[in-house]
Amino acid sequence: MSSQDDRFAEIYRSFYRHVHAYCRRRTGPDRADDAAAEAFLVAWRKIDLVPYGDEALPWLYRVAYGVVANLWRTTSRQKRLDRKLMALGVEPADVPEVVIVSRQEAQQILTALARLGPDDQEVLRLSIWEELSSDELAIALDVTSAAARQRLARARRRLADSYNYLESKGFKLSVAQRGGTS
Amino acid sequence: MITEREAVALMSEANPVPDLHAYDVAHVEVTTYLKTLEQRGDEMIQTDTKTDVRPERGRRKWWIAAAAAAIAVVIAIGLGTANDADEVPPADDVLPVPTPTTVPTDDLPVTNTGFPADLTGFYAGSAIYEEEDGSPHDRLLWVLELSDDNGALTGYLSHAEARSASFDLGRDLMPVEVERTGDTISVRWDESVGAREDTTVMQCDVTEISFTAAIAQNPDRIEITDGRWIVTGDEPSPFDETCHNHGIPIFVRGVLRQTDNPAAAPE
Repeated sequence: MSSQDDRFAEIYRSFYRHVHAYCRRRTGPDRADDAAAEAFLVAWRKIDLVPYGDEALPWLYRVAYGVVANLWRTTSRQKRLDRKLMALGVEPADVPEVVIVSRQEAQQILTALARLGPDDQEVLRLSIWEELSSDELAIALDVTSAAARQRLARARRRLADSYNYLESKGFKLSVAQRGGTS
Repeated sequence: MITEREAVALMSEANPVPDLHAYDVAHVEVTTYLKTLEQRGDEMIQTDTKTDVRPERGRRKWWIAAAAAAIAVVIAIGLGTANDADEVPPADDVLPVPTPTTVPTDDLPVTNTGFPADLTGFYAGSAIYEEEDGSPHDRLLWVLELSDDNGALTGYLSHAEARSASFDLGRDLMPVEVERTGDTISVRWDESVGAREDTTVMQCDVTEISFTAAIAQNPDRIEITDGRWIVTGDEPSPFDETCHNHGIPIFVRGVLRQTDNPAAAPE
């Protein structure tokens, strides 16, 4: 293998699990394999641009975000229907988080998360689920560290607001109502 | 009521993949994976010359690019100084779009943008951004799609034209929620930036400029009364320093009214 292939192999071995988990958190198990593969395909083609060291992972997250965003775009009409269903109190059934959790509070916080804009959702997931620092967030979001911190602060505030809004509206969704999740 | 800290803790507990070490992934052997990537890369290079972090970009339908180009023209007209005119594609290469009418700042008339009248629930309007001193700044065309679900309205804001493609684009970019109380409609902007990394296609670049310009005003709420809506922006955009060139805070004023003139529909 060439030195570039060696480098890619190292990146792949080190971070595939992380990127796959990232994709699974956003797309569900059925699409995570393809999304992660797409992300590493980009990394392979752009190997010269992949940062060295710890900065490689947030860079990969940024790429994965683009891949996942493409998936989202292709299902924009489905999302529109989902939003209307949510307005009627019915949660889309194929959201991966919904399948995982059963606790009322967890359902409520994930619904609150889903009500936020994609950027707010992303910064929260990167911070809370991927456990990125502010500097890593900045790489993943391609913004300055200060902007990343500001985004995160706003997103956290909106998450709490969204949760409290749902609570004020008497949020209560049973598992059965949410599409027969198990 | 929960605090931000409690909300973060709840979200952490709701992590679908909480323990990465226990996370079982079907790991493909690297050498085999490389060969697979090489094959797929060759296939994609043959079909997609715009290689970047959006590998599917080149395979998207032509009308996405055409709609983006149409938006680029409209935005370029509106933004003027924000874009390099050399980067705007020739008008012959894009979908025909209505030219925005100049809107006076003191009395904002309806600008009929020619949306199909049979799309009930669609509202078209123009907006003009104003600096604090009242001087006009940018102008965009927006579309607000409203649908009534048991009295609660949901909607999407777009700065595009009445083309399905551009609606899709706008929907991805700027979902909003609308609630109506009496004669007042309150619109919440989620400030979504679905195409932040669209830097490989010039048209999307321009779209993003227009979008971040909208964010720069950063309105959290629009109030619409008697067909007149006022948006107040009160904080800087957190997303992009370039937004700051557009002046902050900025007041957005405009008129929003349902279009009902079939003759105005584009050919």
